[in-house]
Amino acid sequence: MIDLAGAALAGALVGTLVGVLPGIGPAAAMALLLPLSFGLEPSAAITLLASIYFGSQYGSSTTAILLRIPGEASGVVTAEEGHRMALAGRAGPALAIAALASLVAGLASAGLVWLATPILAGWALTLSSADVAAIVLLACVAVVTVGADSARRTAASLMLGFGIGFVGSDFGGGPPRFTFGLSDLRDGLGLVPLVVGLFGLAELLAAPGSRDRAAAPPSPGSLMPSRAELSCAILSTIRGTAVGSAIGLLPGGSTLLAALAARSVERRFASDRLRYGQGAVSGVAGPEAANNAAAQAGLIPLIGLGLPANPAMAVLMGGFMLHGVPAGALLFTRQPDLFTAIIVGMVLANLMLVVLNLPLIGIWVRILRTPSIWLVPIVVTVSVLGVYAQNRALADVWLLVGFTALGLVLKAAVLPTPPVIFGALLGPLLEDNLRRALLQARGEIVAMADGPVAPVCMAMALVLLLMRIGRRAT
Amino acid sequence: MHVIGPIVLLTGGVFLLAGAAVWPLGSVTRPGPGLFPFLGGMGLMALAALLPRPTPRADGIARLPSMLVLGATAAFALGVDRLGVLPSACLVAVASALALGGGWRLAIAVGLVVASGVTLVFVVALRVPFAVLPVGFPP
Repeated sequence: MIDLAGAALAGALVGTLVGVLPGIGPAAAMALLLPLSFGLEPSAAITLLASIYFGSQYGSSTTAILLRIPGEASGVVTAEEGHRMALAGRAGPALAIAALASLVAGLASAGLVWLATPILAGWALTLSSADVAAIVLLACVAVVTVGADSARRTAASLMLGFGIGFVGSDFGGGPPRFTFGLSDLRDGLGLVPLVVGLFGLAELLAAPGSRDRAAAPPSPGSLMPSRAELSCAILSTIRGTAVGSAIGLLPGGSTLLAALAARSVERRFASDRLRYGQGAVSGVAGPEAANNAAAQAGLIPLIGLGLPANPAMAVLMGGFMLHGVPAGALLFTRQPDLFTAIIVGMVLANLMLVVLNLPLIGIWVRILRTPSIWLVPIVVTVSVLGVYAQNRALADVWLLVGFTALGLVLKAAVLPTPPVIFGALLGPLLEDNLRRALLQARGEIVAMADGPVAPVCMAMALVLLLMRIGRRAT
Repeated sequence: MHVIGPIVLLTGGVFLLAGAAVWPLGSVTRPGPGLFPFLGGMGLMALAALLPRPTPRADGIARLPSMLVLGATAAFALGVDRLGVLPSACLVAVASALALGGGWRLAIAVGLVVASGVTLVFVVALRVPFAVLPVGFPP
């Protein structure tokens, strides 16, 4: 329990810092801390990594509200109304509402993870290779069609990720592919250099001084919201939690998408919807509840099916692998206590985040105002050392250089980087299961769909594609 | 700027197709190890042709600082076995600070912060079995 609490505290602190500082996102920070989690018990390691992700959502809201500079993408939505509240002298209540909405959503989502994941894991046992291939294909289609980026650009990045995923041993003990005889590449290109290079260093180097133009933040003042603000925030939090939990389950359903969806819902249903543009409380409570709920609901497909819903969950999956924690039904049969420990860790992390965030606001703002000329070299060095420390393998450092360069090239080409990670993770899963299904069906494509799962997934993928085409036409 | 995307995709496509040519494609009933790289390569080639011109302007990337930092990271990989982790890490920190426009004083200050941080976090707290100092120095 002490290990869990310590891991939740450390993760909450690092996560808040990551949320406050633009540049290094939660996925890269989690990847960096992966090697440092070796000495921990698996439950504490998973709690540490998950707490970083949850903490980044909380931390982002602080600077989004006070300075209109979100450290994490989902904070962009909160920045709109939250910063207007701050300019109107209501910074304290905006911060309190953001923290409480996140707490409520976090605890509700932890409950949802606890209830839904074992059911999903049990169902996963009944799936055939064709079903898994269809689910992964649906996930790929969702990544391409659901996001805000151009579908063709997203598909291009996803394909590049597939290419990265082809490196290493072929399924079923086949020949190693694209390894050029290098034994370091036999197990594939490492997840840590990939995530740290693409998400961490490339982001940081692309615009190293972008946050130095921050204005002086308004004083938070009293944190106590008025009764009217509180009553409005309660309903917005409930709606935001529902919207965020649903979107968090979808592959490609990012926290940003959840926050955007929650704001659309609030603009239609909230009692203060006419105040949008002047600092609406619902524009803070709804998106904040939604992004935190989405972050945590992403654990359901990850633990239940072994499918990451977003890049941060992909890194968490890497944490599962490193610590020998199986995803899916095996977790519940082999290590049932571990699942309970993860849920306890989630609850602890959410409680600690509220305790840490509100009293320490001044410190977070001071850290944000540290000139990037100090922070960037330190973060670069820690990234290089973190990647090297994982296996003390020079190949990892060279991969880091390569992936950072790739990230910078993709930025110059306006190609999104998150789909590359999805492609690298989902590609091998899709190839293995599809090849297995084709072998088992002996070429009879119809025989592959012996249950309802594969046809339903294919139909859903088709609907998503048609919706995207329809959206483009309008 | 709009040609970078297609060039990246074409390069990736050619790389996958060249790799796929080494292994058998197989058939629908017995797909070989070359089939999926072949399909991926074809997909990348097709997307290179279909990629829309970027309407959003690409973020202005600080090219020279980025290349210098990447160079410092490469130098870390080349030198860490001989120099040890502490001097190599300081080299990355100082080079990054200079690349980003900091003067020598600031770069040395950053180097000192990194040196003490690396010693405290990686050596004292985490006890990662690094070769901390150059070859020949006592551990």
